[in-house]
Amino acid sequence: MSQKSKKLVLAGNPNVGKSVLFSQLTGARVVISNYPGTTVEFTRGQLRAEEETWEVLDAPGTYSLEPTCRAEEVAANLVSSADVVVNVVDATNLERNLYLTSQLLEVGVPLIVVLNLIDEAAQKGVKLNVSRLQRLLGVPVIPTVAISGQGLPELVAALPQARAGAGEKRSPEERWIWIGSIVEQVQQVTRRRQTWLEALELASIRPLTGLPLAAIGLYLTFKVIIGCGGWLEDLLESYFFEPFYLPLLQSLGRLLGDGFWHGLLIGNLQNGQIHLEESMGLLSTGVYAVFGIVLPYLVMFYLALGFLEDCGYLPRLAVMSDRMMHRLGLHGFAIIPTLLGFGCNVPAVLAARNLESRRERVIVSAMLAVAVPCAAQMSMIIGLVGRHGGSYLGVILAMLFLIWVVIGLFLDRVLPGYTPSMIVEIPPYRWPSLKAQSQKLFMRLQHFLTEALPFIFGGILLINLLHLVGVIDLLSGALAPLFRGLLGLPKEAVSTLLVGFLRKDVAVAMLLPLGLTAKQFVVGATVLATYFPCAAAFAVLIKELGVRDMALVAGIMLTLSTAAGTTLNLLLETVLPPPYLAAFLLGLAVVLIAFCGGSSDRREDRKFSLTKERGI
Amino acid sequence: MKTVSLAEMKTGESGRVKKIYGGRGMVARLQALGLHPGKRVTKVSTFFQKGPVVVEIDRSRVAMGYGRANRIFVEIDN
Repeated sequence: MSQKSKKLVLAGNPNVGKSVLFSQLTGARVVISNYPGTTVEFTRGQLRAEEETWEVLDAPGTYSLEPTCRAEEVAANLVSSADVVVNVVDATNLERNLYLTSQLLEVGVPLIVVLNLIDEAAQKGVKLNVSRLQRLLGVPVIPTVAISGQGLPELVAALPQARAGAGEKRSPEERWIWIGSIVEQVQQVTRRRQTWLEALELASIRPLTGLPLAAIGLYLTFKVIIGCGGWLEDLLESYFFEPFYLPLLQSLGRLLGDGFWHGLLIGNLQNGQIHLEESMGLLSTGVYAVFGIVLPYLVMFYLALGFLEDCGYLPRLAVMSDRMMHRLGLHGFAIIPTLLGFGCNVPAVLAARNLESRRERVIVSAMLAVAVPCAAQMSMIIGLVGRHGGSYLGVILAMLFLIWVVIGLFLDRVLPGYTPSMIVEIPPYRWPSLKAQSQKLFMRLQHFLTEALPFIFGGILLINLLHLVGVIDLLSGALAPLFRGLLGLPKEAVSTLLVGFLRKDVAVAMLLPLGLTAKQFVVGATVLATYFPCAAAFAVLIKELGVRDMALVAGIMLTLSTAAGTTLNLLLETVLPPPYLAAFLLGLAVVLIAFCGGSSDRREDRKFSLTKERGI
Repeated sequence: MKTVSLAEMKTGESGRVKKIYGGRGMVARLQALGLHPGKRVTKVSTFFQKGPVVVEIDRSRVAMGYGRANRIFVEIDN
């Protein structure tokens, strides 16, 4: 890399297809979705045109160069460092998109305008006069359909012709007048009949139809994930692990004999047999936990999430949940990071950057870190606790929901200031592209395997080593009274907490060989889910929240986790059977939301009534 | 002609944005989304109990919380 390549920045409103264009131009794989704010950090790639190599940067979406959240700040900074800016414009919505264009022209950076989604515009009855637009803007304008690659060769060929705008400074009002005159000259709109998809678009944002749709949709998604995941798990079990893998391990075990390596790789035998779930060796439980239990559910979860993301439903879910989230000091958009958290907490905490205030980011991150188990951990819980009956699973989920609510209510009360209400664009429904879907699934699985495998093996290795050195016995002894007294768990369960810091899924699996009752299993899984984030999530939380707020969050975690475990230990089965306890916890959460929330809303009301009195 | 806030407007009604009460940040954000004085909007969804509001501006839909909708005033068409 001796020759310095020029910097090309893709800038544009959220959800106009910048990332699609980016991956088409550079061949790099990036996550694309159909909701504003998928990209929160820039991605870098390379484009080799005929003579030059370009460094291509995909900026987070922004509506203007005056940033209102962290993701938009990133975009504004990128633009100021660019050699050429490619301004991606949504052709279906020229007027709004040209606002950023007008600012880019004022800044005087060399510019090319890409009219993306030109096919969708035609479908919606929007006709654009490209050559006239080019003349009026004074920079090259290229119509494209990024997802299919249409117009991209023309874009690459036009790169050297990028020109700076006139640089005339305008006030916001003047910008809109200027835009209005342009749109009038280049755009023709004919009304079309409403399609059924458009009817569904409306139905899903209106409360009477939208709320039942959301409830049914989420319930079905959950059912499908569990159903198909379980089916996949059985398939793997009976066609791979039973007939091939287990015999292979057994012969390996005989080969190794009795010794250190046998203990590490194969683990403990049960009645002379290897037990894939309980032996706790690297190759037995280690491999089985990842590929036999976690992966089937993970695949199904990411398929479902990918579909929800790409079809454009998530912002509608934000509208549906806005009311509830307001009671917890957040607003509807926070449901998107929360949902992502069910995949992995790391990208979820990053996605919280789309929220405007630091206050919201702290609340949502805390709720994520404590009460939203990642897909791997959830698969383990579903796979292992589900065996004792769905109602035990229900108890865990209800408890997590209650904790989630309590954290929101608590932080909303103690954190100063208020959460401004949301402003979010609702994209049209689009059929997810098969290519983008499979690419996204592939990337997420790859991320899981490369990130998780070392930690899983590391976790099992660590536990074996600590056992050998005797650290675990020491710790178990020290924490035994707490575990036995409050949680009703044997002291051996202490070691799962250590592993839980590395991998939560393995930690849950480690509860199996302890021979726990269903009740103990529920307590253990709940404590493991909530007591602390895994190392990867911890690192990103510290980075995003800072040490002080992270300490606050950690304090909340330890307190709530112990409280939840103790409560379950006291109530489950001894006072209430699992289905009733689940219903009770859920009911308690709903009552808390209804009657205790809304501190920040009241603060905002107070502030607003003050400004009204002053006549501002 | 009647001037009401977006929050009070009924689903299906259209009008022109008259005035936005809010801090600089909020006004700038709405402005960037195309919601500025003089702009035509149609309300497409109302939530009960101080819930969010969805409006249509040109061909895009924007959802906003009640607190914000309450500070945007619209002159309703007759």
